[in-house]
Amino acid sequence: MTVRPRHAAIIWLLCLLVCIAVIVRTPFTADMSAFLPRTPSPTQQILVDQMKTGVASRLILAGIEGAPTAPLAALSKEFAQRLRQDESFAAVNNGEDIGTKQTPDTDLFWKNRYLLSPNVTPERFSADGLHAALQLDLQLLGSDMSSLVKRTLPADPTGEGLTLLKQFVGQSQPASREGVWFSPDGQRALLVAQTRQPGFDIASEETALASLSAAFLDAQHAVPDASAARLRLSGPGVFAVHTKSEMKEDISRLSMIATLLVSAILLFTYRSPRILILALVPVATGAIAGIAAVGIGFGFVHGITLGFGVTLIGEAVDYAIYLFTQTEPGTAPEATLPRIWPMLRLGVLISVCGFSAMLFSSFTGFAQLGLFSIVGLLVAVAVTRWVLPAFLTKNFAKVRSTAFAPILLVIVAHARSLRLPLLAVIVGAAVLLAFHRGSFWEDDLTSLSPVPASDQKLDQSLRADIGAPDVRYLVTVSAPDEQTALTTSETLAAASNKLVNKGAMSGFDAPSLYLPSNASQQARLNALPNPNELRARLTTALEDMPFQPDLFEPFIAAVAQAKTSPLLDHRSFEGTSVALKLDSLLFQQRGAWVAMLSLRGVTDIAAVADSIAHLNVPGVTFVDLKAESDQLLRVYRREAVLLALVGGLVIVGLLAVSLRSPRRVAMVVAPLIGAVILTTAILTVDGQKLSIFNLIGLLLTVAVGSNYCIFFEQQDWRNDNAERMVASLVLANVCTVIGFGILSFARLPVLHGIGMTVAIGAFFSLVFAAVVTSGGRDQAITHRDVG
Amino acid sequence: MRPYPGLAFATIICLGLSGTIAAAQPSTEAFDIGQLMARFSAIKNSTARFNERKYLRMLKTPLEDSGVLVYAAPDKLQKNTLLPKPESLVIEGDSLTIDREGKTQTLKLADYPQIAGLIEGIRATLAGDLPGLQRFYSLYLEGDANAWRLLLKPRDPKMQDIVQSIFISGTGGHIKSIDTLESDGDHSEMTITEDSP
Repeated sequence: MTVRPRHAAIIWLLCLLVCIAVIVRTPFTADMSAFLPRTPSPTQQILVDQMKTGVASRLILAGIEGAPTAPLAALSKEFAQRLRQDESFAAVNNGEDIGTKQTPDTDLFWKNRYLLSPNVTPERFSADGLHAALQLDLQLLGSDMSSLVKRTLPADPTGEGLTLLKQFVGQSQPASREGVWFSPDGQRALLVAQTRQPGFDIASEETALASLSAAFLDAQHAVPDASAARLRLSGPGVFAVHTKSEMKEDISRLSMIATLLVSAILLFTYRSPRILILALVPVATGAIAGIAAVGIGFGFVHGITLGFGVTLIGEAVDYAIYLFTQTEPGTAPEATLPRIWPMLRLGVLISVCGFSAMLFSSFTGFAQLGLFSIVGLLVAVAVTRWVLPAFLTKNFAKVRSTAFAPILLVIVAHARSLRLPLLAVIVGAAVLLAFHRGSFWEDDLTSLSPVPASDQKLDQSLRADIGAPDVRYLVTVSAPDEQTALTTSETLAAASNKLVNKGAMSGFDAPSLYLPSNASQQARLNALPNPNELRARLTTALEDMPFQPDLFEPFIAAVAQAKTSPLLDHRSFEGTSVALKLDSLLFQQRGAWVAMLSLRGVTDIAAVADSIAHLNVPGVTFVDLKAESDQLLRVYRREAVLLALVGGLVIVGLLAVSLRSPRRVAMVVAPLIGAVILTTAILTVDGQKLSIFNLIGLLLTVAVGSNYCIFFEQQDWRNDNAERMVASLVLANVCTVIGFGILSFARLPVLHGIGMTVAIGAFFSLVFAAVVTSGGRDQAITHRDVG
Repeated sequence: MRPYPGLAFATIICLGLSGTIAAAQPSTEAFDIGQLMARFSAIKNSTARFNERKYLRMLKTPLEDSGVLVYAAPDKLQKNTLLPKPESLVIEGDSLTIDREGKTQTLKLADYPQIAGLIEGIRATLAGDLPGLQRFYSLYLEGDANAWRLLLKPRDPKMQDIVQSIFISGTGGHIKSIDTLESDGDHSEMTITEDSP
């Protein structure tokens, strides 16, 4: 008996070293996409990948506010100029005309109008076609549009430039003041920066954000009257960095508070620093083993998993508490362990079952939390069982640590009389739930987002100002090569044009608008006549018209030049803002070329979906992002409900096998059901809705709360150790409630939701167990109370 | 491609209306720009007919059009051309809406800073805000209240690229004509007849 614990201690030490070695090599991440499903549909995959690495993920939206227009504009220019010299940014745009380096889009479109305009056809350039165009020009000259056509008319009588301009109308640019972008109310100067690295590469995003702040401060010094101006940032990368720092802050703060509180309680109870340290040994070992296990199982550890470690502080310490508190003073722990071990073992098994359900979650994040908790609890209980005795002397429990136990026992004795009131409360809660207004479930996916509502609001307002509202409807094209993707995009664009004309939507954006397929470009060039032929046709077309002779020489020259110009490709747009746009609409992903069309102002969704379906082009998917995210949420929820139900059933099954009596199982389960009902009622009071994190929390309530019920149910109340048992349960419960309760102060919805649910639920479980189960096996308790 | 749609017209209709609403009692005293402004600001709504003749270098013959101008305080200006082809141009708030051949096109003034400057300047006129007008134009007033001529020269070089000068002449509180000389040598003459109230 004395040798084995010593061996165990050596094994423990070795394992600890191995675990630490594993942890040192494990990368940590704060990537919130771990809380997206592992097996999404192909459409979701495109969206998730785009979210993680696409152009959209690289955008940082900046608003400068808090000063009058003139200093804001000057600040925007100084700021942008500094950022343009920074290697972290691929592009910086504040609406400023910065000359030759970044060709204005309109110039680019103008120069390539004969390749880009869908109106370039042989008919358009016949004598009749030209005559019709010239008649229209004459009307325009007499109209209010005259200044629009006057400058371009000699070089573009067929109006291709105007056609292109109209094509991009509605893709509104932000409002402009003093030459830079401003919000419509003039309160905020706007700037968009694109980082070279994807938004979820947190390290480089952190660098980029640091450069942004430094550049802003620097610019602020260079501009008079700008000292009051503030910089506000938004975008996926900004969110990722904020979430990470918030997570870090929360986790270090909350685990410190939990450790301090639990330590204070243990110190107060046991009055021995030595025992305090011993009580924390299983917790620390469990946490280290848990992290190592996750590192081995997943290859990385998520920050949220560490946050969940806070709960382990509250829970794993229970096992040491049971051992210390239930050991009679003057006896060795070896005497206590055989007595409490069966209950401890069953309790751990049930907790492990509860957490196992999480292992099967399609969220990588949840699966990590599950594995971490399972390994943590198993290791903590094993350390309590086999390692702690090696450090405990026979007489370790010098102080009567359970001074408050007799009072507790009196309370427990009277608890039985609360059975009816309790039943009334539970029935009341159940009724409340039955009449809950509307849905129980939180339907908004953003409620699961780690990004605080205020940041989401800022993001929306910046996006609205910049004229890049969130897109709801998309058409994605997946094709084997770039040209096929572009041809399909052209087919879709033609259909979309018809839908716009029918009024089913107000506009759209497609990659082929910027980069037509080679076939289309070639067809347009072929439609252009050679200079002599064009001159002859133009002469015919100009008969009886008031235009000056030779007015259209620039037109003849432009067509001649276009005929010999090379076709456009990706490289033609380098260094322009069209390149950014094109990269977000046409990209390579997993070996395929993806083209994305975004639809604006859709009013007749059925007509749009129908028309796209009727095209019958392969690789085309119509995506309603809202429907897609709703669907995603439904999948998450269905899965969470399933996991909770299966977890619950496995726990009941385990109890049935161990207790071998339906009545005893009922005694353990009844308080748990009561706790779950009352907790749910409290969570949904005031029409609040349940998130899937609450749901997982309810499962863990059952997993954790069942431990108390088991101890209560198995206790022989005539035995002297009853008061020690009650004291240990109360102490363990207080520690658990502290662990989870502190987690409910976390800002991340996942930690907050689970923490709050389990803290409430665990407390009720103990109270209800006392009320329902305490007198379960005999009436001796009353007898003791009297005696 | 640097289109500034409706720029000249924006100028003309704004100024035209400014003139029509300047109806006030003729004064025999020295007539200055401040007095003209005060009269502009007094009237909130007005309607007038216009005839316009454009001389464009591109064309061998001038183009003519006519229609109705409408102003409503504080910031809505409308030019309804009836001949030779119906079309309407509305400037309201920050947007410029052009309606022709059944198609409506809305442009944001902010996308065309030169026009925006012009419009803000004109609105300053309509509001009787002399400093606002002077932000955009150098002003030269000659004659007396019975026969005055106001010359506007844009201050902004980008605006100067398009419009060289605008001459507005009137008798008493009535504007009789607006002549616009564009920087490319084209010019237009607009005569305005105020509707009797």
